[in-house]
Amino acid sequence: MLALTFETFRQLTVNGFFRGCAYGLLGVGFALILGVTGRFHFAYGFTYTLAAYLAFTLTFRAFSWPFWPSAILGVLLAACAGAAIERGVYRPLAKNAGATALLAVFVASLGIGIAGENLIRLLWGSETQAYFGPTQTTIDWWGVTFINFDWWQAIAAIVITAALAAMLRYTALGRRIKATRVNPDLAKAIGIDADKTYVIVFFLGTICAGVASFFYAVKYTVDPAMGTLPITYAFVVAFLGGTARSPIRVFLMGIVVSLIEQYASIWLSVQYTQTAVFVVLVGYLTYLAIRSSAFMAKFNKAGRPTPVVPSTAAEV
Amino acid sequence: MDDEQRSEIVHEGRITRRRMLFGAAGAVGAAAFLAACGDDDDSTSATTAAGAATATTAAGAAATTGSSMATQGTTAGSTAGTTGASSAGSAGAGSTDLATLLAIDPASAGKGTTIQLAAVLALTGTGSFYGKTMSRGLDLAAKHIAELGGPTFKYTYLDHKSGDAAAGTQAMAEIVSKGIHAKFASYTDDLGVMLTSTAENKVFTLDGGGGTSIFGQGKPYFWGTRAITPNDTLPGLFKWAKETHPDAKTVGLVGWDIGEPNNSIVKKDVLAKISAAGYEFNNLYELVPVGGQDFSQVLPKIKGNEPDLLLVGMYGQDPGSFANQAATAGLKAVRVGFEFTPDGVKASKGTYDSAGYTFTYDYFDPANPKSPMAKKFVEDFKKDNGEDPDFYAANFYENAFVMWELMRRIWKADPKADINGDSLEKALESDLTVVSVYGGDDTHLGSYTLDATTHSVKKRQMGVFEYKGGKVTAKAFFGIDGADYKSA
Repeated sequence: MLALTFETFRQLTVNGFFRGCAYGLLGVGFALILGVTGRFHFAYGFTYTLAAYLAFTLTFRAFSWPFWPSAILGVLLAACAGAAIERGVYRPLAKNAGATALLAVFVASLGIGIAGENLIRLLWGSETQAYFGPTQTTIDWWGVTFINFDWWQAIAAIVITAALAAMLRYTALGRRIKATRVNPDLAKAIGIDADKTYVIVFFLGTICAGVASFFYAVKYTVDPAMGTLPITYAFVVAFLGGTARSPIRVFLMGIVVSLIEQYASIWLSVQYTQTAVFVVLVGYLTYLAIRSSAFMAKFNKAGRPTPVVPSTAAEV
Repeated sequence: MDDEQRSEIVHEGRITRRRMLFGAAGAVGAAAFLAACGDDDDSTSATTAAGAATATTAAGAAATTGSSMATQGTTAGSTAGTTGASSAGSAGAGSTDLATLLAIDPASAGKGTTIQLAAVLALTGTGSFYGKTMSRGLDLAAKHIAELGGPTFKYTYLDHKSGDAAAGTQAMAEIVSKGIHAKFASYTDDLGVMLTSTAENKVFTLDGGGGTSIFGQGKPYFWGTRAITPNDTLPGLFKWAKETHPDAKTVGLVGWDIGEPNNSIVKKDVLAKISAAGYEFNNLYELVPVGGQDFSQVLPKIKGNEPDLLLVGMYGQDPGSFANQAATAGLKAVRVGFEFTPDGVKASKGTYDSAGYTFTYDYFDPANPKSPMAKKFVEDFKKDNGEDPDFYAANFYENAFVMWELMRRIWKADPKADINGDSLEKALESDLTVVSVYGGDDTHLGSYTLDATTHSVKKRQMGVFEYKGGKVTAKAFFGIDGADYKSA
């Protein structure tokens, strides 16, 4: 058994927080898309990867543009790609598939994810690309170390999440999005263009993924498979945080998931720490199932089970 | 008819000027962008900070300084009297003609024959760098073999997706269904997944990527043609460490998770070698996912249990990412990797260049090719690919020549003999010393010797090297089990 010192615990906590900011941002974007549109957008991993590649290309390959404008444009272009997937693929597919729309969109999103990754391999090659940005500096706070990109990522993630939460709460667009999330048909009846709202939601959700992707690329490298794991975390965080809940809650859940993973590494070898996250997910699902079971209904004062398990994708 | 339909009819069948302008601009923009995507010219990265220099060096050569590597051909040649490599010593003294050095007999060279071979490589995934460079080595070898009057090698390239079990199984099924009897493999036959099928279907295999590792030793029809890392290098590495870091007492390891039982087999051997060298294992043996770049979980554990000497058993880009984050975390342990690749240099984001990176294995030095075969390989590789060959390109180039050498042995005994797994296996077992692109000199080709029991290399030169500031410097040379150790 390895020695566990307070310094190790402190460093794991700080690392968990920074990593959790990325998980949180991914979860916020995925939850927004899933909660409002009800689409299991597994091509989210592709748009995540695309953002980093576009930013990288604009700076280092195509135009030698300055770093930050390229980064912003890369994220925005990827967000446009996300919106285009909704407009060009999911919407027509959902309309034609009728009752099986959920499955049709799910399968299509998987297909786009796989095809997208391979398209990136064709265009950029399969090898790793080094994405150099501003000089990396190490920050040491009372023996806990991290780099400037960690810090910037945390600030960006918090600002984006807070801005998204404020937009949903205080703006007309936010009210339209929430109305569409609650009942798209009713929203249409009162004059809200639900289709347009869906496209906007895909755009905003992909921005969250794009920003997380950009910071990953700057910290590490760019490679075509970089979107594979984030989609898993985005799904777990969105599910645990609640897709109909505030982005702030989802974001905090991202940090919690990351901390669970970090602390699990104290007792488990690193290759098993992801398992800890899925144990939490399965535990949560089991809890939901038990809460809604007939067994628990006996203990419900009203004499009927609490409908906590979502019945439709839109409620997830 | 609504407005939308009317609008469509107006434009039906003809292209308006505006549409044409948009289309042309879009096409030009898209073409320029797509062309730029594939541009490998890293010189445009000059706008970057510390990394700009790294990107340039990564693509370019890593020049070796210090003492030149001892020629292995001299050593091996003296013990291997029947190989093409050593026969060159008598047949081709003073000659640099490769055909003569290889002792090619046109009657048994196989000209006009087409040989189907498979290559199961990491063509996609995090290790796709390996697939690319290995296939380049194989393709160049096929070209050179044909030029030298040999058979036409037709490769079927298959993808194990950087160690994916299902992909490896599928690749073997395809090889068997196509009736291919020999293959080149990497990742120790896809992390051992293909070993059973290789044996059952008698597919003669040379693995110059992962070698046999410890878990793939002695498997029928499977031969590892490189030194095993980390295991083979450890005795020599510890000799170097005792010379250069006499105060170091404890050793720990962080490395790839290659699944069970492989992890346990490798660990047992590593711990035995640590103990045999007189070091103390400090209980740090952390395994991380293959291809993972975020070491934020494992680094605090290492820092809390820091050994004097940390073995970094990862490959590809991973040791580069690790080096970068280890420097940030302030690790003080002497860190030693077991591979050096341009991918690692890129992923280190300048850390290799600024802080240095020490590694140990049978590194190929493109700046200092010894034999005519190595010189031709380096020269033509650069011509074809615009960059220096690395260790993996060299190994797979060499493997193709070994495959041809075995075929020549078979055809020499019986010009009409079938080339299959059995005949290739017997041809190799008849003489375990084969031609190498490593070692040698102007009048001799290098060679290396395999072990009949382990199917791994018995004699192969390795060393400790350091990369820093765009250059690789040799620190020490040694053989398997630290034999013939000498400081550079």
